[in-house]
Amino acid sequence: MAPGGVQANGRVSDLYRKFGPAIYSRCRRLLKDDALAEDATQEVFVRVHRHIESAPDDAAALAWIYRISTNYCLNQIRDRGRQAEATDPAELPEAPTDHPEPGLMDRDLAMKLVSRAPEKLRATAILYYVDGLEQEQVARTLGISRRTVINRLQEFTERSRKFITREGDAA
Amino acid sequence: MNTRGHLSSETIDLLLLSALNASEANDAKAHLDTCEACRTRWRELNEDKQQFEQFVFARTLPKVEARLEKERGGFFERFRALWLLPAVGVTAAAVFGIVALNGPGTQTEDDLYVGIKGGSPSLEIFAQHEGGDAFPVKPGGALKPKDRIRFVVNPAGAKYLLIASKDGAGAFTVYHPFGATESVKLGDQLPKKLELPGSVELDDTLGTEHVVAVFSDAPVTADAVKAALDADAAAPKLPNARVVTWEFQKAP
Repeated sequence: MAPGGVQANGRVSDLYRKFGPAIYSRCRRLLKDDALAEDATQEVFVRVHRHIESAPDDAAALAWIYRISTNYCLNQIRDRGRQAEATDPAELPEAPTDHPEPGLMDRDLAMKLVSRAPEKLRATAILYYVDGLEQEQVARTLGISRRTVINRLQEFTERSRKFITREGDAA
Repeated sequence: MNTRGHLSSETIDLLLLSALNASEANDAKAHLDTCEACRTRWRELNEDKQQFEQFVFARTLPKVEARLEKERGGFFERFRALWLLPAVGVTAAAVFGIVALNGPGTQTEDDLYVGIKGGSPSLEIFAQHEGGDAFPVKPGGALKPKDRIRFVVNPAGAKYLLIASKDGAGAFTVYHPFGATESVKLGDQLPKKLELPGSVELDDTLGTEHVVAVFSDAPVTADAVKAALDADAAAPKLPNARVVTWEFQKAP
């Protein structure tokens, strides 16, 4: 909701020009569809316009738009019942990850498991495992405490480990 | 480089956009030379960037700009529609014709996408003159009797809100929740922009009108707000509350 007018529109166009490639790439990775990614990128920048008065300066703007795009794509995935990435057990490792530390989970594996995770864990998992943010940065991005980030990552890891083990046993 | 020994997606994106400073860019490039995982990620993101710039940007920019224009008009149209709702039940109060509905306000889905929390509380006032378009009232701006005003707030995590006024004749009125004796509890998950329901029709009292929005984590009484306004209408102070002040001139 930005009654700012032409000036606000101009800034959003500039942001689209500058950060559009990064956001398009992000939407493409999350939605796994070029056309959906194109639409999602446009929708993200319409939302940027609505909240342009909250937009940080250029240096921090990308992280801010990242957050909008992550939430938008996760909602699209939820609403359309889409899978962020194929979760055919055959594509998953046959054994649980060898890494005891949740911080060491592989990025691609995390992407495969995100769509299996409860909604409340998805954004945290994507920001930490896929985007490579630190726990403190994830906390700031999502407006939650670092303790909550740690808890959600542990829950994500545990659920993923059980899923992989179960699918491995069933195979 | 993060604590897991890799570049974040943001760092790689900023590198591709040439938006890192020289030192950061050199560090990132040095890491790419030694890390196959990050190099693969860089290649993926670079391919997407090329695709966007070659095939997507020029085709979609006009669509985005058209959407922004539509959004801009939509704000006023949406607000205009909301004006119609309270008009049905306007009560002829001695001083103001007011309808104020207690409720959670309007929460839009994209507010949740943005996921704003914290920050500083804010108050915006929008006005309508003789049924025309809604327009934002600037601090110290001029309004006329019979103009209608509405409030948009950013609670910034506050749990309670009260909006009150002291008009040019010194009369104190609680605008939101209208006529209440203490502040109203807000919802648990609020958007940054909370459009409060109902509107206020200004009466004929002329002069400077001070409006305060009192944000707090516990209820604040109207009496306490009145006392604070009486003590200093331009900068009222209330313990354990964040007060946003606003004033406008009411002239014929």
